[in-house]
Amino acid sequence: MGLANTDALLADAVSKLLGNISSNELCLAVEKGHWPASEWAQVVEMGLPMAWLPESLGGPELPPEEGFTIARLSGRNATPLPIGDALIASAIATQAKLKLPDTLVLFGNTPANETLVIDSDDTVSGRCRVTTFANHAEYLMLPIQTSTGSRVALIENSGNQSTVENTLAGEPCCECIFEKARVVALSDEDFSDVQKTIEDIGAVVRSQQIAGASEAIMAICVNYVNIREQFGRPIAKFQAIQHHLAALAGEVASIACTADVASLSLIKSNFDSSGTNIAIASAKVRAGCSGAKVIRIAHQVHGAIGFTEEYELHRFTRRIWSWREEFGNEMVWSHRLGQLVTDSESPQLWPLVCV
Amino acid sequence: MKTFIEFDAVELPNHLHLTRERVREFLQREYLPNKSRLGSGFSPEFSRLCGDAGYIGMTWPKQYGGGGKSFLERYIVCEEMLAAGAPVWGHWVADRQSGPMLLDYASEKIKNDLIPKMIAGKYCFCIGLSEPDSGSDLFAAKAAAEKTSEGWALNGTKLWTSGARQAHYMIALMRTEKATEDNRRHGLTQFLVPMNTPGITVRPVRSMAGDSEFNEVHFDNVIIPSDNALGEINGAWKQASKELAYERSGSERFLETFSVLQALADYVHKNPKVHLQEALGSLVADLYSFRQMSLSVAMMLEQGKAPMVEAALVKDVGTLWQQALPERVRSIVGGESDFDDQPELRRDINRMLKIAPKLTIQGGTTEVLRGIIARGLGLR
Repeated sequence: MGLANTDALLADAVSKLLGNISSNELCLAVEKGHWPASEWAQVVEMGLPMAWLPESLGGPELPPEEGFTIARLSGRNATPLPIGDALIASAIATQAKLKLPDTLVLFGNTPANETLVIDSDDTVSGRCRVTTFANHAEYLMLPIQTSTGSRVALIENSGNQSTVENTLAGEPCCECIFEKARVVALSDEDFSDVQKTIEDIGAVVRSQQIAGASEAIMAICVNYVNIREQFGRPIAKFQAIQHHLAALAGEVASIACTADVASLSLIKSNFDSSGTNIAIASAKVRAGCSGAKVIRIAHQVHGAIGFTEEYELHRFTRRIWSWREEFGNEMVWSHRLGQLVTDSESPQLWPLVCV
Repeated sequence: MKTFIEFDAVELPNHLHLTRERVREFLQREYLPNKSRLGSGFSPEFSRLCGDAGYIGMTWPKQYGGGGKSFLERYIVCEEMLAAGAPVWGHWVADRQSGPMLLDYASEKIKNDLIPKMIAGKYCFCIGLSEPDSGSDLFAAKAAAEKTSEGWALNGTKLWTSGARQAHYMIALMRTEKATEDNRRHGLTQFLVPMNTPGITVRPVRSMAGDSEFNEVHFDNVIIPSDNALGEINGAWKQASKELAYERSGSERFLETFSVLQALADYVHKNPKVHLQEALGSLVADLYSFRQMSLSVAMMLEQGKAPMVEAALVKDVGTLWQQALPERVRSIVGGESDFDDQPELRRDINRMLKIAPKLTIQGGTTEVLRGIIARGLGLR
């Protein structure tokens, strides 16, 4: 991966663990409603979902680059666990200075025009949307309005929810509905831009996951075309296939490079973002646009086998489709980037691009 | 799984922001007020100004008058020049690849004679590779150099040579021996050819864009000194990889049609409709990505690597994008009701449409690049 200061030993260990637990069988089981509790326990044991959380708040306090490496590797293995989502929650908890329990905590967004408040008995009632796996989260973090400003609260997840629907990736997604859910902790300081912060961090984590999935797809394709024979030779020897894969490599490289640049940008700003960050916007646009091209080419070179459930390509394809929609799809981020140009006094692009 | 393609995220050191500011001041002072006179192509006057400012040979050793600076610093200077549309082509080839090539393979005498003047912006270089019967297939070159008592005698024809009429020197790839059975790349040698040598005739080839950037260069018993053979005789193929990485990964591979994107931004700034903002933003994101990839290759070059595959990737994605840019801008604004009232925007689009077809051909076609990438992927 193209980020400096990452620990190769840690990356190896994470790769090994995620490689062992992330199978096509497990993905298909999750799709049918199975919660991989023992796999999740192993991932927690290694400290992966809370990588960004400082020791004082119950986390392993890994260097910030490592969180992005973990996100990339979870994509590269198409791990059917909410590693990325828990990472994002841990980044928010770090900023809100909330101590997290050693279990699945996810961040929930309130629908537009709805706000949550804490009642006099220290409970909240309402609903929130969570990307995936909220039906297995013991706690939720939520944006809360108080008389003195915006806060982030950690609440017990009562387990009530709307009908669980699967995402394109086949992972459970639902709206959480809670009545008099106990507030376990509340941030001290105002956190009014939490929605923006989560969208920024979420976009970069998703870009890294898409980068990882794309890298995996490239490896699967290269392997397949070297083995698969048609017309008396491996299809890798056909120029049409070679050009397909060369184009695919360009898309993969651009996704990965931009995701790394965006990660670096977030690290530099200490995960604190104001305004539209061109690196983040470009990373999510790249992941969305190029991700679609990666998928098209990969399926084309595979032929029919790539379209089956038993062959592993689909779990990467479908995760890219799912991840590109979350924390702002490429249309949303493109629009923000365009707005950045039109909102400024001068429409000069070059100074914007080479920051 | 280890991926073989790695584009490290580059964080520019702080002092380079200063470099960028200085280039912008330079352009503000020397170029923008004289834009119409200097143009955007060849300008010996502008090249000398660049030389005086220390913007040519920035990375070359100080003993020859070079700047001894990093590739990243040079990268910043180059991209600022291109983004401003400055007329850099008079020294571009010399600065990008001929200088480094001479520094690696020329005799001390040649280096001492030529390098200081190249740095001063006084020498324009061209590259003689393609021929009437060999374009993408460089190793089929037939134009020959034969050893004589006086040095080397050159005979044959180079075609599509950019800037040959303005150039003082050509770095020419010539056949010095037949290819062997087991190595078809064998038998070619690079030469330094003064363009004023008797026997050279240059004929301009007018392009569909209305310019005559390309030329046909004919060699009729052109005699050059023995010393002008560069590097290994018959072994030019071994010397190409670094040079090609320089040639393929620079910002000219995605900035050549940049002005049409800026024209779109100007238009959307006045018409901030949602669909226009979205279309503009998407293109800006593309540009941001390709620049980061290109910057990453500059870093690899700085570290002494020869990133052949990465450079090919940058050129492949970058040139396809810059080629498509005028079409995409056209499709974004073409349906707007006030498009007819935007003569400047239309002119920009038309101007870039006309150069677009060559962008995926010069310096290695899409197909050649994809062959290189496929080899890197282990497919051939």
